[in-house]
Order: sequence, then C-alpha cells, then structure tokens
Amino acid sequence: MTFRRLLQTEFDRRRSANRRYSLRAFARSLSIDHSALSQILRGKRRLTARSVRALAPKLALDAAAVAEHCAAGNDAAVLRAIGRPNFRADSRWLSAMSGIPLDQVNVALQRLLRTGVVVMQSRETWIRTVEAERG
Amino acid sequence: MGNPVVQWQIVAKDPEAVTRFYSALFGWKVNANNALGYRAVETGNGRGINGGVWPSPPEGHNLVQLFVEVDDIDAALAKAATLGATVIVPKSELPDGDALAIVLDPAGLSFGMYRPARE
Repeated sequence: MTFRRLLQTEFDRRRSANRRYSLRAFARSLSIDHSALSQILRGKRRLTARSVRALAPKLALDAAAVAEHCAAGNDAAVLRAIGRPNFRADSRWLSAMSGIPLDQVNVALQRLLRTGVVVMQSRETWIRTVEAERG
Repeated sequence: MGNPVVQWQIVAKDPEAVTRFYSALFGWKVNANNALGYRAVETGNGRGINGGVWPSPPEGHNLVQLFVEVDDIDAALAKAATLGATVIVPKSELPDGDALAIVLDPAGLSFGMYRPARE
C-alpha cells in the first residue's frame, strides 16, 4: 500500500467513526495544510520520503512501516516514469523525472525487476507488467 | 571460452561511503558515467578483475557478489534451476548492452550470470 492510500484509509476510518470529521480536521491532526493534503489524496502532489517520515508519528507508524511506505512510493514513482511517452532507459533520467535520488531509483528498479513488475526486454525497452499506482 | 568470473560487485547500504573507502585505500578509480549510474570500479592493473558497487535496500545486507560470464543466460538459468538454484532477478537486458541475472545458489549465496555487450 502506498502512503497516499494509507492516508485515505485512515481518513475514511475516522469519517466512518464520525461523519462530521472533515479533511481540515484530518489535516490539522497531521499538522499540514488542508489543500496540500487534498492534493496528496488526489494524487496531485507527490509525498517525499521526508514528508512520510514527518507524518509517520502522527499515524503511529514504526520505522519498518515508514521504510515500507517510502519503498512503495519510490516504486510507484519509478513505475510512472517508465510509463512516460518520452521514457529513456537511464537511471539518471528516471531520477530526474521521479524526483528520487539515483541510488534509491536503482534500489526501486532492482525491486521491480525482482518482483517481475518491470522486465528489461532489450536495452531500450522496459515492460511494465502492472499499471503504476498513484504515489 | 569457459565461464570465467569477470567481475565482483559490492552491494552496500551506503554505496557512496563504500566507494570512497576503497578508492582512498587502494586508489581504485570509479566511473559512474553510464546509463544506470553504476559505480564501475577499475583496480588499475591488468591482473585480477574489476568490479562495481550497487545500492542495497535499507532492509538488505552489505554483501559481495561474483559475476560469472555465460554465453546464454537463459540456458545457464535453466541449468542452475535443475541444480537447486533460485533466480532472484530474472535476465535483464541492461541499457548499455550487457545482460545480467542474479541467482541464489543452493547454499544461499547470490551471484550474477553475466553476458557482456555484443558489439
């Protein structure tokens, strides 16, 4: 699960407990701007590893869960970049497109290859076997 | 041609620090000017083999792998499977023209099956 989906799930959980619970209230509890939170939930704003780490304590997430969400976010961002029409089989290009540091791009790439989500079919053709999830 | 060990690879949680350490210790030259930004290491002598440094995920371990050159990675993987090996990373055609698969031997040691770029 990406961190965005985790936020959405947590927001839905709180709303089901209190139908008057608003996005503004959720944003206040996370100490972030409500419009930024809205953009994050709609997939219009990318969550950086730094922001995931900052939000984690407010959602009672431990270090392992944070690492898992950062990895899922990186994988999704790299996967989206691979799907771009102007894709280049180049980790530096992926880094520039995804905003993720080069080493983290390569870690994500290895994970995607290992799980079969990406296949390097030829030196210029990388196949995505699943669609990218919004980060 | 046989199946020579053609490269070593350090997989490190902090690849930059590892690279700095060995460069400072042995004067090894590092060149990451390639499509994957791979830290290719030249040890500076015709003898021995060169290597490289690759990042490990945070939950992984620091380790060293050997890359064995094969003519046909698919055939080598099939044979390895009959001998009890497990494929970790399937054959991947890398952007610079070489190809690689990572395999776990029956003892649990990982190594690479490597095919250099064809001119």
